[in-house]
Amino acid sequence: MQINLFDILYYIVLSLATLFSLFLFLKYKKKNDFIFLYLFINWLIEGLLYVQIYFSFEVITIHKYYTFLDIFTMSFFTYYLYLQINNKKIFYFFIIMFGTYLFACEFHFNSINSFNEVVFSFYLIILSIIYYINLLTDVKVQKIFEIPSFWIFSAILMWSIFYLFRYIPRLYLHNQEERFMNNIRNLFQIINVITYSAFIIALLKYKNYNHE
Amino acid sequence: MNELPIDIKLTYIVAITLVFFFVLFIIFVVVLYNRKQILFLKEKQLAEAEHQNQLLQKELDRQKSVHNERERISHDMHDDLGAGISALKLQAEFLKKKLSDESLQEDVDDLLKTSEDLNLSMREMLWSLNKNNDTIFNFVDYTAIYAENFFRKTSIAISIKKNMNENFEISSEMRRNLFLCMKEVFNNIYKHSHAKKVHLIFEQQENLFKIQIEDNGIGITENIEHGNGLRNIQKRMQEIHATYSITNNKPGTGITIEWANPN
Repeated sequence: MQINLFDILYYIVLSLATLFSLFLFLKYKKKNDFIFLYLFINWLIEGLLYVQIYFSFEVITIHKYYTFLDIFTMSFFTYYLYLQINNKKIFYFFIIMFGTYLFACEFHFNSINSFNEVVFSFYLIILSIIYYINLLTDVKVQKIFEIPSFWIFSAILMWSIFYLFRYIPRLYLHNQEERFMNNIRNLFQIINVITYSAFIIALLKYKNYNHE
Repeated sequence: MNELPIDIKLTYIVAITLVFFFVLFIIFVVVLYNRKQILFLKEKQLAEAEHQNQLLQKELDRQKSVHNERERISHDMHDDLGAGISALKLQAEFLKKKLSDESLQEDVDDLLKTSEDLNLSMREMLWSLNKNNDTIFNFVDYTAIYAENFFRKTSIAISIKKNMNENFEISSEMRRNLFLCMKEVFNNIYKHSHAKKVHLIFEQQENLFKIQIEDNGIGITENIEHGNGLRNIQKRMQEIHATYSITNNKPGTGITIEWANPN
């Protein structure tokens, strides 16, 4: 696997989002519901991965990084959803779902299991849908585009859909169509760029957002 | 694209469909949210208006109960205290006629004077309690009559001028404070000014209500300037958001009270 232009572009946007969240956190001491933490962990892991790929050495296998990142992402967005909707019942429901997922995937740290990735995507899609349902039942004074979590969950929903699109073909093709899989990978990096751009917009909204 | 296997084609179709659904879903959420938000904001506005109405109603009820209580006190004072003072005066006068001892007659005269003062004080209280007197014209008329009666008993001649054109409501507190200030000023003129003449002018200029009191006495001295009377006037003026100024006219003193009516 090689690093291409799409990978670099994605990492630049991710770095910008991380730096901006750090800046907001340090300068204004504004609450951004730990988005800074999520971006920083992502930035760190992706950075380590790129370094490993660029210098062609392997301290930790790529699959382990991604398995950790999946578990972290699921935990983070479960908690993030809880912060937005403040409903303990839904929070416990997702904790149980998350626990079930962990048992089901049996901590696949040694190989990428496409089925687990599909479950992971569905988990994030369900989180987003629950968020939207709550958003529509608990209407706020702010306009929808001024709510940071709307941007975050829209980004996550879009990202999860394309993540599915990335991993479902693996189930069928078993990596036989390398050119096609590379195209999908490049397309996914563009989706990553859009996702983290939405995160930057969300962070900008956090600057003026009043939690009510 | 013809070379691509059916699975890949299917994947593309699924992906495009997913994108389409994603976009549709987001549009649906935004439209629905905006509609609900309009309803939510209208409901909130209604709730706020209702809350304001409730507060207003409460305030009106409170004012009404204060008014009723004032009326009750006023009636009680008039009927009980007023009748009592009148009976006291009658009895004192009856007693005076019976007495032949001059020193005792003087004592009874003092008693009569005290009863008269008490009667006047009660009437002032009744005047300040009565809500129907809460107008600027009423205040001006009452103060003018008071001033005439006050200076009639002295050697000071008074001339009163009223340049009033528009009647408006003033609060009881405002009326009471203004009247007590006027009383204090009249008292000071009588006690300290050695004046022969006093001019009292009530004037209305658009939203400004002005009272000018000028005398031809010896002018204001340092003791009076820092006395309790003027301090009380200053305090009362601050309470009703009015201003007052004193000028040494040589001869005499001029006092001006100004109040900007927000109505």
